[in-house]
Amino acid sequence: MATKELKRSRGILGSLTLVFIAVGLYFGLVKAPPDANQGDLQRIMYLHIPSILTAYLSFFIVFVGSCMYLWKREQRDDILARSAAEIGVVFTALTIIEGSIWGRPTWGVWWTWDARLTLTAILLIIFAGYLMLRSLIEDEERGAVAGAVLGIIGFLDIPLIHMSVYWWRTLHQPPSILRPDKAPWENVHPAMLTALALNFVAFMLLYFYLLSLRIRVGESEAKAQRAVLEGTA
Amino acid sequence: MDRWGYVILAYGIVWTGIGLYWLSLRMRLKRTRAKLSEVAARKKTGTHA
Repeated sequence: MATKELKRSRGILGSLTLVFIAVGLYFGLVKAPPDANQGDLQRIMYLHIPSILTAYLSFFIVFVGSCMYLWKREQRDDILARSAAEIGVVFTALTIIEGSIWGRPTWGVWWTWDARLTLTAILLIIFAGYLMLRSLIEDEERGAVAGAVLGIIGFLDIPLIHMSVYWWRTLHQPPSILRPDKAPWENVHPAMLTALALNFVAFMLLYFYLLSLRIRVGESEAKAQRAVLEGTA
Repeated sequence: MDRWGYVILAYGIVWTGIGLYWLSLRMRLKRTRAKLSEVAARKKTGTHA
């Protein structure tokens, strides 16, 4: 009964995600007005901001899952952290690619060693390393402990990324939404803000849908591994 | 490439990437489930033997 209900709620989440993705695409590509300076190129923002915020959330979940694992040593916390790390890597990589595509016509280069870009690349390398570490260490418990420590350290890069545009002179613009001195609606056109909010909701729903699917993969893998070990014992 | 070209490239890469990742997760789930039932079946025959 519980499995059936879980399956039903996953189905609802999946359908809702699809609806929001479609609405977000419509608002981002059609309904939102072009930017006064960048024209239609600015529409990349409706992907860029939601995808990096999704990555930040994912690494925050890695941080929480890792702390919980080190404290209680429960496998479900490790599965949560490992699942979130994998999805975080996907969204960080996509953010860097989108940023690069946006940067080429705006800055004239695909890549520059700007503080924010470099710190984001470091974030990607740390968590790609996390995934490699997990697949290299055969002892599950040792791998989980090493991963948890790296997951906690890796998360500390996120405040640095956020503050980098204030601390160093960078090519990357300062935040338009998460500004300490201005509310988002004072700084961004309402139609653009609506498109951004809808895409943000779509990415959040997509994230939780993917996370639930990835956790299911992790649980099944752990179950299969236990079954194999019991069979050989 | 004009401005829309860059926009389409970015949207295309992101949604193709997410779609491929979703497909890979579904395939991994299917593979692990098949492995689980294989182990269960082997266990069952082992018990009966």
